[in-house]
Amino acid sequence: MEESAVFAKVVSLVTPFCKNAEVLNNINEKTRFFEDLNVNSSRMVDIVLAVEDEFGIEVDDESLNRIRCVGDTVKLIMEKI
Amino acid sequence: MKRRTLLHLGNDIVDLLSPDIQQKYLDQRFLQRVFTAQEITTIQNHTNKNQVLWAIWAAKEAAYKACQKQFPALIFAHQKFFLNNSTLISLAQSKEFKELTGTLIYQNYTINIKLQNYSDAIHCLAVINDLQLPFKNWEKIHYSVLETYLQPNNTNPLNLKKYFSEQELMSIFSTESLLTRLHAKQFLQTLGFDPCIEIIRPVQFNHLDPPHLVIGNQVLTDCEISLSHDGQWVAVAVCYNQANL
Repeated sequence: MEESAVFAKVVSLVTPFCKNAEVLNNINEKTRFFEDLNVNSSRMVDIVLAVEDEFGIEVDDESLNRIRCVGDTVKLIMEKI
Repeated sequence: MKRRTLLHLGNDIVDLLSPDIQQKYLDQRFLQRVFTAQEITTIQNHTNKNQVLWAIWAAKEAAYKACQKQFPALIFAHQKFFLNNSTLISLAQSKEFKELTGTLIYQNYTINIKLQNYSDAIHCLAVINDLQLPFKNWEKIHYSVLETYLQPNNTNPLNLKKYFSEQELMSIFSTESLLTRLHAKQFLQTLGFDPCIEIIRPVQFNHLDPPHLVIGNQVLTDCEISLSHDGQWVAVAVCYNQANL
């Protein structure tokens, strides 16, 4: 899968967990989950589970702890698919 | 920064009325990712499943925040922070707890926790000390929990930012965070701290370090502070004069 397609899919998975429409409209690879999207830690678990289900991958705790921004998620998925 | 604290403090608050978290006990994937088998059983067998689920979650989060101060590179693997059996039993046996103390285990460390039920929110304090002694001096941990009743989108953050230094603002990214810090500063003043005190969270390698207190350019190394916010709720916990603990 192309990286751009992965990015688009990640954005669609993240969108239900983020209430800030302005930030979502300008989302890019550097958009940070905590600081920009205001995603808390339990929602982060939900996002990771959604990514696992969508891409058929497993995200271990170490990898989860390294995810800070949308780009980190895309990079992780590209490494695993 | 060399710390002289004898103990490390964490706290976490969960807004039980947040629409995102209702009936989370039905989400098997979430349960199996976060909780141990015994914790899941305790949740599923309780009459107030949602409350117990988020109580255990808050305990894990608070414990991680405390441990992270002792072990900065610590990875948060939720299942590896688990309530000990007697604490789980206490939780299971209380229909609707008001306050509950217990312990949580991480590897060979014991973290002392204190859960409080505000009906619409759950708050947890967590303390880990260097000597691994049981912690009984909860009255030395000062904390404040507040329901803001504010709609963050309607709060003018520009008005609130004037209460913070540039360095403080570098780690404030949302209105919720702003409200939490404001509440924390007001609370610190009620405890007798200098009104010029700053709450700093250094940004290291694209992540935020735990907060610490600064007056002038001096870090208060014998003070611990922990912040939390969720939904309409903010919480702050402080410990100081640790030689008296």
